[in-house]
Amino acid sequence: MAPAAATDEEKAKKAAEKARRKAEFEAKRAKEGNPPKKKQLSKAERRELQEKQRADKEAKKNPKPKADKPPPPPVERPTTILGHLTKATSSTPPADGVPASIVELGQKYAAGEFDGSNDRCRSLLDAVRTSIKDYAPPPDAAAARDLDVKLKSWASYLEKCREPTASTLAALKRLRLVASTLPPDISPSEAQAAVETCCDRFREERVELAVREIGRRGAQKIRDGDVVVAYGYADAVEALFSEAVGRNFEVVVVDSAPAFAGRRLLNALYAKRVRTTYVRLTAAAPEIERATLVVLGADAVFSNGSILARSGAFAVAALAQRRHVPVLVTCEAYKCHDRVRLDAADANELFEFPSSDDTPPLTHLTYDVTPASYVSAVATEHGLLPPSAVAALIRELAEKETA
Amino acid sequence: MAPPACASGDVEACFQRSLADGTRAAPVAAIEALLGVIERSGAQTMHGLQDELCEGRKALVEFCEQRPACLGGRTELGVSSGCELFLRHVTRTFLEFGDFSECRDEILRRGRAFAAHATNARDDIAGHASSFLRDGSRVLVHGRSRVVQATLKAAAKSGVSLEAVVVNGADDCGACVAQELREEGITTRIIADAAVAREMEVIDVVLVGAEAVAENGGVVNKVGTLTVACCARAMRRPLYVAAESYKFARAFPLGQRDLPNADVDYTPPDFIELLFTDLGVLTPAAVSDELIRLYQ
Repeated sequence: MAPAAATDEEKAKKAAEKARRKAEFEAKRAKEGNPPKKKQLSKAERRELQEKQRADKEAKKNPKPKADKPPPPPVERPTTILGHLTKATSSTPPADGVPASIVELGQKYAAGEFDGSNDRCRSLLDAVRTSIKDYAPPPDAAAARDLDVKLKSWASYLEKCREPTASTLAALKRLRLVASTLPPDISPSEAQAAVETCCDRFREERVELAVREIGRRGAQKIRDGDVVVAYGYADAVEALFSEAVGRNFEVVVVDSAPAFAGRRLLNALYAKRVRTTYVRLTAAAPEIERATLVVLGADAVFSNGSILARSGAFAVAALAQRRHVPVLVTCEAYKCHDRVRLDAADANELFEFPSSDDTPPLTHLTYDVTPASYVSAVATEHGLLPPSAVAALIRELAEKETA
Repeated sequence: MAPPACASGDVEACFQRSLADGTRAAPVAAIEALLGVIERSGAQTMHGLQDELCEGRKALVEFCEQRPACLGGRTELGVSSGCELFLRHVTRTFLEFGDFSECRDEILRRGRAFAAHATNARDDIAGHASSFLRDGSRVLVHGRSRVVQATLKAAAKSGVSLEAVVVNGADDCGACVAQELREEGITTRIIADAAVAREMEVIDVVLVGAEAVAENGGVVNKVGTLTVACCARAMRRPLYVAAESYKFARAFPLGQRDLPNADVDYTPPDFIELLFTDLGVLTPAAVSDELIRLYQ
């Protein structure tokens, strides 16, 4: 313990020395009085000084400004609250090596074909499956690594043609996970087979089976004497009504411009001899007053429980809320999206209809966002959930995927 | 309280024996009856055992449907949710162990622990709820819930002086509850069910039990609970639900129409402040988190 005691002693000595010096300095300062003040500058002088300093600093940063460098192009600022949204465009030039079937799909996306997220996802999986058949990796690169890069470039091309949906993002994420975890020495034909299997399994398990299971679970909520309001078209909503055929219920299909997707549901129900009424959104209020249940499809459900769905869904949900009519939202689990959107203007697909001399320009947003408080239950293939539990479902599914 | 011998007889007889001493809730008795099924089982595969357990559960639920008297006027929802949770435990154990006999022993061990935990749940809940009941609180009580009574008793025992305001309806159940609470030395007042709104002004806390807790955190309970909840909401009084976690059911009522009979009503989660459970104090939204974790 002796050395430690010595250091302690030394420390104490040093501290005493320091305190003494400090006291001396303070005394000296007090004798001399306060240091002389700086000369007062007028406002204009201060400004001049500041400008000069700024100019010096700028000059230091860019020591030799190139005379021939063109000024940066002016940033185009959005002029309306929707100015930040991108329009679907078919004029995107495809990047090198994007196969014909993906380019064709991009053109269709841009033209607004495929109504509904499931169809978007199905068409994407088909296109990838076709493209992968002609896939030949460059001789010097590993197939696994190259495949992942290819998928990424195809995805970014498609994204330029039309805003991706939660469904296509989930499918591409799955495909890229499979591609990037292939063993590095895998042969091209084996890599092709792995991607094809992934496409088929994703389509069968996450889309088709999910639609059927949601239909089965959701149909349990339809009882004799029910008046069920549906808006637009969704695969799972059609499956739900098909499951319930035989019970004594009535469906009110609410529909709206410009897609009139509800006609597809109307035709399907008509073929199954389900008692159906068809109204436009403008006439929906009295129909929802007499409804006992409202069923909506979804393009995505966010982790805060809010629903991204066809424009107008929020209006239907709000009308239902007014009368405490339960709102059931069908959503395949792969559309549960680990993000949030604040409202319809946050991120959306914008369509502008051409204007002429006597019609003003008409803007249409594809989706709107229904807050979680307007939703009674979300029907997924894993069961009915309150919207607050979507985050828990996303977490559990992510854990399963990585396990 | 030793578990009754379930070595002989069928699952229904076993269930009735478990219920007979009056200290167990029906779902706990049902779980003990299912443990008896495993003990007696001659099944050599996991699949065979699961089939027998499913049969047992079905028999129990049917038994309860036919003889509602054995449940003391409650629905079979609690029994069916308790059985389902037990089956889920069995399946999970099976996924962990490959060997059948090893797995069977583990299931029995965990099953007994599960039943014991369910029996102790009431004390745990009383412990969690104690910090929400303050000296001088006026507590409105609706329905005959053993958990609620245990909670009030525990609070009284720890020296908190409460006034229990007991709602009494046409079945005169409130009078029995009031009698039992008075025996424990709790100041008790009986009010008519029609007077709930009138009395709410002087109430500090509303405390009810549950027959089943739905997936969204709403509760199914004795009819009149929703009336009490509506009044509590209108007067901004907190409504707490005391319920054991074996009552968490895989059911999602969208409204009153999804209920099995007219003796119960469904209180949506927006009317419920908190749930006191043996898993802790939960918000209604946390119930679905727990269920997703169990069933995924």
